[in-house]
Amino acid sequence: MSTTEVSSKIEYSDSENRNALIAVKSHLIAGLLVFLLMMLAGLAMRAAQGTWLEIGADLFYQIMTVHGAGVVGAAMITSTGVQWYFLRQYVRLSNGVFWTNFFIFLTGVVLILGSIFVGKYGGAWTFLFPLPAISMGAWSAGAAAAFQLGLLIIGVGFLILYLDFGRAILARYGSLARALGLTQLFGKEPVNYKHPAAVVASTMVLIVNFMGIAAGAVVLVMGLVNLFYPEFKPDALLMKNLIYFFGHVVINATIYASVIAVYELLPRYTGRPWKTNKPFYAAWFAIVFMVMGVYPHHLLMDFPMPTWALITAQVLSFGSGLPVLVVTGYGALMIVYRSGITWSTSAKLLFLSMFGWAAGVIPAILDAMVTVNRTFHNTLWVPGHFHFYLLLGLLPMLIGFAYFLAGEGDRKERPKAVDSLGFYAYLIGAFMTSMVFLASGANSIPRRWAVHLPEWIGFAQAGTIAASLVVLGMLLFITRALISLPGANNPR
Amino acid sequence: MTPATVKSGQPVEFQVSAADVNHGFGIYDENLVLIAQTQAMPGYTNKLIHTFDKPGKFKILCLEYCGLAHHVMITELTVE
Repeated sequence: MSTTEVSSKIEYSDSENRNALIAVKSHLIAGLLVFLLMMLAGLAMRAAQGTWLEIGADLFYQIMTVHGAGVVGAAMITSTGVQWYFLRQYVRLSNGVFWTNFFIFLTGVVLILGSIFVGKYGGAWTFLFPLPAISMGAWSAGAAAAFQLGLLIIGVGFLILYLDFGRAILARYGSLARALGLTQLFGKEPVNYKHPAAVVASTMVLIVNFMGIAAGAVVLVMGLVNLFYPEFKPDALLMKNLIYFFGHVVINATIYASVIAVYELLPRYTGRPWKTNKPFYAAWFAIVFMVMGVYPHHLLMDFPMPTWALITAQVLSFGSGLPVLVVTGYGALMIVYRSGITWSTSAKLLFLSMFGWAAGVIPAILDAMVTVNRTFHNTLWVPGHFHFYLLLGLLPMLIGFAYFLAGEGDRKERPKAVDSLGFYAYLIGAFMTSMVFLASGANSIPRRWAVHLPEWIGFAQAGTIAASLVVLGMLLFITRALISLPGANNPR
Repeated sequence: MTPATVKSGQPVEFQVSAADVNHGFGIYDENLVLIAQTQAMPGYTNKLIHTFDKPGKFKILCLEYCGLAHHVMITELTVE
């Protein structure tokens, strides 16, 4: 197969392209709206902890449950929209399968919302076994089952979509190794600088998410069986391992799917191509194993865990994320440097995402050290680290892509005053939200407490102000997206 | 938690388990600073060894979400 064949783009009919664009916009709008609602939920929780809003503990924990599940779900569906938009340009993907996953996802969302707000399920999105089955009367087995069934259905939808990804990638490249660039990395083929980064990233996401979701399906099925046949009692530590493997892989994969927007859009804004090369392939190859191997850093305070697993997780955590981050961050800097780039809102957000991803690594690495984890584990340091990643790394990629699709990519629109206000409100709010969480964790404040002790209330109030700014910024972004996205043409 | 009183200056072994769901066992000093923790899990006993360097009233807080009463799981430990 020649280099040209590997790099050329796939042709679709006009009707297929129109349908695909509607599908991608549906993913983006649905995902970003869920993000906004989840930010409002987060704001409500911080206000309740800060004594500025009175809500009962039962409602607080229901909101906490929907916030966790909602953010992970929104991250998955929106990042998949970004990934699919670019991947279909290089491999022939099915619109039907893409829509199928979307509607399966919505079905799962309905089940989850029903379980929480009708069935009063408040067992947290991590459904740590055996909590869903032992609620002390707070929710029924049916509510717990609806929640876990909702997650399971969503997982099945994504597995179907990944089967289509796998089929299409294999049809075009012959093997996952070739799609990952390994044949070039190991010298079996000459290096092709035009080998699409979107294909490399998508292959990595396909592999890890298939494993992660499969593990999630196993633990969800075991949990469901336990709900109705309590004599079936799986080992709590095994369940914990499976849950954290699933959760860690799935949420991490969203950022690796979304970074495709950086690879595809920065070249458009700078007029310079993103060249893939051996370090790029090596980084993505390494991250396949790292993303799957680091999850035991969630279990450092579970002393029965095998020592080798904890040491491996700690060592991998130091380097996890770094390979891809380094090649991407360095590549982004090089492509932008003296390029005369027009700083549209989309370009600003994509560049911000590099900072959020890079800086977000620091608190993550600290918490993965056993000596630090002893006093930071399950404090607000943990949400501090992942809010940094998600608010300043992931979401800027997703919103940056939405701006591209909403007009900045095609008509080369300049940012309006309202866009700038949204950008800076969001930037300051997201940074403050994350830093207040980190400071709270460093001051030993536990996570997931509906009511805070008097000594902690000041932190929660500062967090409430920060979260308000995030909501303001997101509201402006969403309003813009809802106005401009539906009628926008596909950028040429 | 038994006993609720331990001695300072010598290692104390906490044998931590859970009868119902997962909990966390976090030891906080008088300034509400977290000084040690482990998980409490059904079917397992985690041994946490800690030496208190001064006497005082310490608090034990739940550090793993365990249901609607999570934030009220607070008890006291006296170190003599």
